[in-house]
Amino acid sequence: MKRAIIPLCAITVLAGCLEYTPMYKVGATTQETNVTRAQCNTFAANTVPVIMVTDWIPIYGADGRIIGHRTEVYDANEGRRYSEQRRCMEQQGYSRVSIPYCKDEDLAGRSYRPLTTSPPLTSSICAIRQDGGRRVLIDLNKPAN
Amino acid sequence: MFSFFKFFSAFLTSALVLAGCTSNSYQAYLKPGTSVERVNQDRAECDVEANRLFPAANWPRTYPTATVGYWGGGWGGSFGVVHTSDVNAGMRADHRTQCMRTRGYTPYAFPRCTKDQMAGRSFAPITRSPQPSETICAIDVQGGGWTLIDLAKPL
Repeated sequence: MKRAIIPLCAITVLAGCLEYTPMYKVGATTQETNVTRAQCNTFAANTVPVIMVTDWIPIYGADGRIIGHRTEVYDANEGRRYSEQRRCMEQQGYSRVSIPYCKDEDLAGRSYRPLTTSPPLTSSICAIRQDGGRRVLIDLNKPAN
Repeated sequence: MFSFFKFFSAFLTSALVLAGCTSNSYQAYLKPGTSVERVNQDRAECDVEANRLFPAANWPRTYPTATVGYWGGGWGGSFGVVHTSDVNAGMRADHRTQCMRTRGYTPYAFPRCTKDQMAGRSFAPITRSPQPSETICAIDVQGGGWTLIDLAKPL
């Protein structure tokens, strides 16, 4: 199980590079979405306790004898906490969506204002990474200039 | 091995705390002419609102790292550092700033006054929100908190 975590994380990270995958609700403002996410973060933190686990993993020598060990320390409930946060948001009407990142050729040097209300997802909606890692959505059909 | 891990975690935490203590600037909100009392009241109201909408959510997170060494007669290592952080802190800070902006304030970072700048002189705390100026800096006050002074106006 634990061995599968690293490949799964790698796939998730790579997928994150290609598409933006937020919890999304058509018609919700950015502020409403942030507040819901924060409330669900708190709910998950308060309802899923921390279970710290230390795994002791032996290191074998060439002759098959144990010559040392390494330890892995982790919170066994980390995944469950994420699931609880996601379920909380789903109960508020949000669902996971995939939104492509805007391509330079699509932007074509034009400026766009970040959308403050989540629109129905169409082919003209794409995401832009901002400084600090934040993402905003724009509508390619509505340039600012 | 576990005691080494605890030592490493304590070292990391201490480094983070020290980094916070040695910050050499203070985040202020400016609205020239407004009294400090009014600024503090607005700041407190925005804090309350931000704390209500974005309450603390302390999530432990495992950050991948690896250590390897030869302890206690065998080779060993550890993987992962668990660090608890408030995942809502960024959104809360953003909301506080936005709340202050809607009340007409502009965020501004003042540098901390140095001993050389003060040169043994005394200064009165600024009582009204100032315009940004190179002569204004921040000092710690007894009992916690900080205040702004104008180096061009010694007592």
